[in-house]
Amino acid sequence: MPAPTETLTLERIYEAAPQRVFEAWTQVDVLGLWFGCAPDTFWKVHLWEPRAGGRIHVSLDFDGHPFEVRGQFLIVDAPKRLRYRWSGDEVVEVTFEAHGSGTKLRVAHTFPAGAEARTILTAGWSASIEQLGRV
Amino acid sequence: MLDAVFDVLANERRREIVARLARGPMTTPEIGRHFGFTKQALNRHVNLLEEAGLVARTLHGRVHELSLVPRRLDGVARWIVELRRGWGASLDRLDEVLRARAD
Repeated sequence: MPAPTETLTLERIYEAAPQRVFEAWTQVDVLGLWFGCAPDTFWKVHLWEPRAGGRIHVSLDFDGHPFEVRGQFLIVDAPKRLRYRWSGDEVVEVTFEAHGSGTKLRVAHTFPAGAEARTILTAGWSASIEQLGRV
Repeated sequence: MLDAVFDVLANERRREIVARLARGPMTTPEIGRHFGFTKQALNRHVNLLEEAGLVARTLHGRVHELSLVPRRLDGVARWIVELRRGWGASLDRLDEVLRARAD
């Protein structure tokens, strides 16, 4: 039986054309301007190779706790679709769909559900809840 | 205890409510409007969140205000809220970046 998973899905509409939005995901200098989990969180992108099989290596820092993400690009179909393995069994799928002159972006982040996920997942996302309450 | 919280948060819409409440308290009508819930659905979600101890209800006149009970969020439950919040913040920043680059 495959391990149960959960998927977090987000959608956004952007005024920029799909090609521009796609570039914001694939050009590291642009990616660095917006990609991260919170404004107060430090991310460092070491490797971001947007081609099938390309490597991903990102360092995160939460409250002084370093965490390394090592993943891999699975599908890179410009300017329509990105699929990459993030940390562990987590997979992120991003689709870029023309929406008028802009883009409808859909992000689906799939991760293991249940007990085994806890240790994997909490390791990376452990910003204090006190901080969460202040946002 | 974590299992009970996790079960309640195994529902996408309830996670969205929790993520929204992480940004500040909301009244029940506000939540209903924000998510487009029927009254029945709204009551069901809110009651389950309340039973799990994830949200607390405060009465302001006839209006119920809901706030997050952060200490109940632990482990995966907390992670899911953080993940949604993180993606949301990133995608909002992406909008700013795209607008700036269009100039």
